[in-house]
Amino acid sequence: MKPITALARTANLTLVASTYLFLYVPLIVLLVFSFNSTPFPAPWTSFTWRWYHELFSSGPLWEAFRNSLIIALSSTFISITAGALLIFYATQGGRIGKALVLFYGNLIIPEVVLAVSLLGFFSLASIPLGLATLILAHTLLGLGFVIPLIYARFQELDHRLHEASLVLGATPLQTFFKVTLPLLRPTMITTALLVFIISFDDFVLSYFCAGSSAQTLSLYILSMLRSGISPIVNALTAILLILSSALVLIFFSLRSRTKLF
Amino acid sequence: MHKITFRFLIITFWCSVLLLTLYGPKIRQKDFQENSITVFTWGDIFDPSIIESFEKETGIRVHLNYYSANEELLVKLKATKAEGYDLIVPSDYAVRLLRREQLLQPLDKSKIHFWKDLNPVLLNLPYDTKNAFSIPFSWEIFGFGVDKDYFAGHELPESWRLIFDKNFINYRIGMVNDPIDATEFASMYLYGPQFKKANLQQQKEITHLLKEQHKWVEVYANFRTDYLLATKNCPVVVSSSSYIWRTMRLVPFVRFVIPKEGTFITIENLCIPKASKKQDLVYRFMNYLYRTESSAKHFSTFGFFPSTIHTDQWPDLDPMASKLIHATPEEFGHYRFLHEDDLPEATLRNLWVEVKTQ
Amino acid sequence: MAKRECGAVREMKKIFLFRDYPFAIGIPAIIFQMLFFYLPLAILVVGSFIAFGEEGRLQGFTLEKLLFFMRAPYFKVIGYSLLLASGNALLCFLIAYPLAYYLAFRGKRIKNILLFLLIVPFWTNFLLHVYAWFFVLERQGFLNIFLQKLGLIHEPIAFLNSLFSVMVMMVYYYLPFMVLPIYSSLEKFDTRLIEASYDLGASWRQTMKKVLLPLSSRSIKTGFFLVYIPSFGEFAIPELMGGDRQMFVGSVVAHYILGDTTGSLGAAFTLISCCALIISATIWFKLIDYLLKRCVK
Repeated sequence: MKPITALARTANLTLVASTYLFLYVPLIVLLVFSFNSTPFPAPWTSFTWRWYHELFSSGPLWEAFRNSLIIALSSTFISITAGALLIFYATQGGRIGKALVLFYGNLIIPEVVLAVSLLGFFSLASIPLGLATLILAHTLLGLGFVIPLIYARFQELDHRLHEASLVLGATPLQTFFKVTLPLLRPTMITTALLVFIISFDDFVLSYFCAGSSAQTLSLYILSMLRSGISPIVNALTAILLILSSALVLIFFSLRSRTKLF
Repeated sequence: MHKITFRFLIITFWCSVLLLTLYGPKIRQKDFQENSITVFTWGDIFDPSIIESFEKETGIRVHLNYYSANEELLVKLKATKAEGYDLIVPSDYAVRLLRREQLLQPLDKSKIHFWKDLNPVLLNLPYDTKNAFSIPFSWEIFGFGVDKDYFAGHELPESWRLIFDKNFINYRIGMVNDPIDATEFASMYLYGPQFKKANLQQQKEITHLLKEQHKWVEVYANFRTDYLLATKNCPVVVSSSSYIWRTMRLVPFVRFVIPKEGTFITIENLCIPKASKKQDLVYRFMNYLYRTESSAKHFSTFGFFPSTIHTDQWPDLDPMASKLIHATPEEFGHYRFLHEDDLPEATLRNLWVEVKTQ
Repeated sequence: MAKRECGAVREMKKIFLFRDYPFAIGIPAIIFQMLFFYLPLAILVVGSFIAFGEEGRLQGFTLEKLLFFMRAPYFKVIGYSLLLASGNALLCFLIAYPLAYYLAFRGKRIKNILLFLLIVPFWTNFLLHVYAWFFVLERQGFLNIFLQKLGLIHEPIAFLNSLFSVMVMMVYYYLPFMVLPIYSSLEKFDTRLIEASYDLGASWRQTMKKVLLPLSSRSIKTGFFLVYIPSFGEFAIPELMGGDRQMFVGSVVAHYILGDTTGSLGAAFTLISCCALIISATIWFKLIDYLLKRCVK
């Protein structure tokens, strides 16, 4: 007698199927209507590429997109670099095990609290709000991921490889670049992808810390949402879904080598 | 060298690097080319095609920065001591506040060619009695966007009762999401058009009214008028005229209703911050903006009433707009401004939280 | 970890300066963290207790700002946020666990595809998902038209601007946070334990209760807090999906912080709600532990 009843099996399968339906129905509806020639709430009229044309010629959108890209790339780069440097310190015997706990806070506190405290700090120190402050805020988020993940992987590495390298005559710097980093590379790439996406999609930090000069993609979409419905956003969703799928594919191909999950 | 000293130096070094990158934008002078002006304005007030044709005709580049509330403008200008911008567009009460902080420079009327075209009812108002610092650019009036189909065959009071009278309302409305606007609308309804700053008892009554209203509010939003009306979510939406005019162009069953008891207007003005040195270029820009074609274009794109009065050459000006634009001084005198005498900010925000937490 | 440098480096070590260069290189991350994370937080905490006189001069220690918020509306706001966060976490758990179970144990061939499908929307901007749900839940939207075509309803139902739409969007957004930790733990699960349980005569319900759940308690707790804590501070979803009719902790904080003179009040409220969050999170932590222990009895 099979312990798991057929009923339980079907129930499980139904639940899973409905969950995926729940996840994708809105997106599919959105995509379908991105080709509708009349804006919502009109029902389906005719097929058109018009909204995609408008999307690609919308100046403010691309500026917002460019800003978000700059911020995401910068914060990813800075947090990965900072993480790598910290690892270097660890390879030279620096005891950072305890200091690591310092970085857990970034993910534990709600993003609103982080944004609010940063805003207070910036206005107190009269730091002008803009791209630099946003990059800083996103880097903080990034560090919360990068440091714990990379250090965990670092601890799993076989240290005899380091010793062997040093014994064979390499300087600590050479060891770092030719042994440690290559071993950590898959983790660093997957973590970098994770941080990039989190920064690119981030909304709360941009809302508080952007000031009026830096417009990010999230803020732009928010202003469009607040002022009504435009099919250009549908077209944008389609494009971003394609982009996101590409990134996830890369992420998956590296996943097996990093045991991220 | 001692280990601790060394570490301290390293830490200082990295701190300075970080802080330098943060303060960088402030230290570095924003040297745009000489032949350009920086305009700090609302997101939806200058038509991009007009800016483009201005740039083409004169060769002067226009850099636009946006804000979405007068408070943002005030905070920014106070922080930078009016530096960095050549033209700003504050609302009526913001002009008063900016004058008090002495952040504006007086206008040279000899450089302005369109003075005779301006609507006289918009000039010499209490916030700038001689118009020494500001020129009205556009204005709008608060009222309701109403779904004609919903009220067909029914009574449609042209009154604040449409959003406040619990005995009349059996539908959902779209309400403004600003505590100041909401309390002043409530005061208008409760105490009539001559209402003064609310005392403690009146504050309680206002809070009570707004709390009651909460039951039939579908959405609190400043910007979703067209969406709410077009999707027939709400038959009545409180909004300013520009939004409703834009909606009326998209959606045929919307009508603009002005409450008869009295209502509010807001006037956007052009001002030059004190520290600007590019006045000549700014005056040329202003003269361009007030040309007939430009004003007409602005109205047709954004729905703001213009400050110029010669609208006979405008294509397709609908009669209701024309009537409002050519208001007599007496009619105009009945309108009130918002923010004439605000309650303390903390009190207002607390009130708003109370209203929304039921 | 043993250090064995070659002769050249040993020479360099004679100079104190060079011995410490790893510190110089490695320290920026920690400086960054202290300067821009802990310092602002400290300022936030301290700022809630300081009174400012005219022209912003310090006047001294005060509890006034905290006391400002000791009133019914603010207790309600915190209460609503706690309910929202707890409800969201529970719903996510109920949906996520069977999903993770299926992914880990059942879907052998399509597991990667399903994981891929799960993550792709997660990696797209969340505001676009809000927008997508407008399309579906609108009065003339997909769901209403679908139900009307099926003949189940005659008048469109107002799904939007209600608690329902807010919860739908919250679950939609936070589901992957709950699924992924549980999945990664279940994937590594020693299935022999399950087999042993069946061999000893337990039904699948008993196995679930006494074997699977307790042993995945760590990942359940991780998932729970990855959902619970951010949900507490959520304000964009209630504003957009709920018509901003109800204020939550995040909305009140934004409301006060972005005001001209009420910035420090906003900071004080942030402090208060953080305390509420920490206390409630601890209670949940203990509760989950207790429940899972009771499962095994």
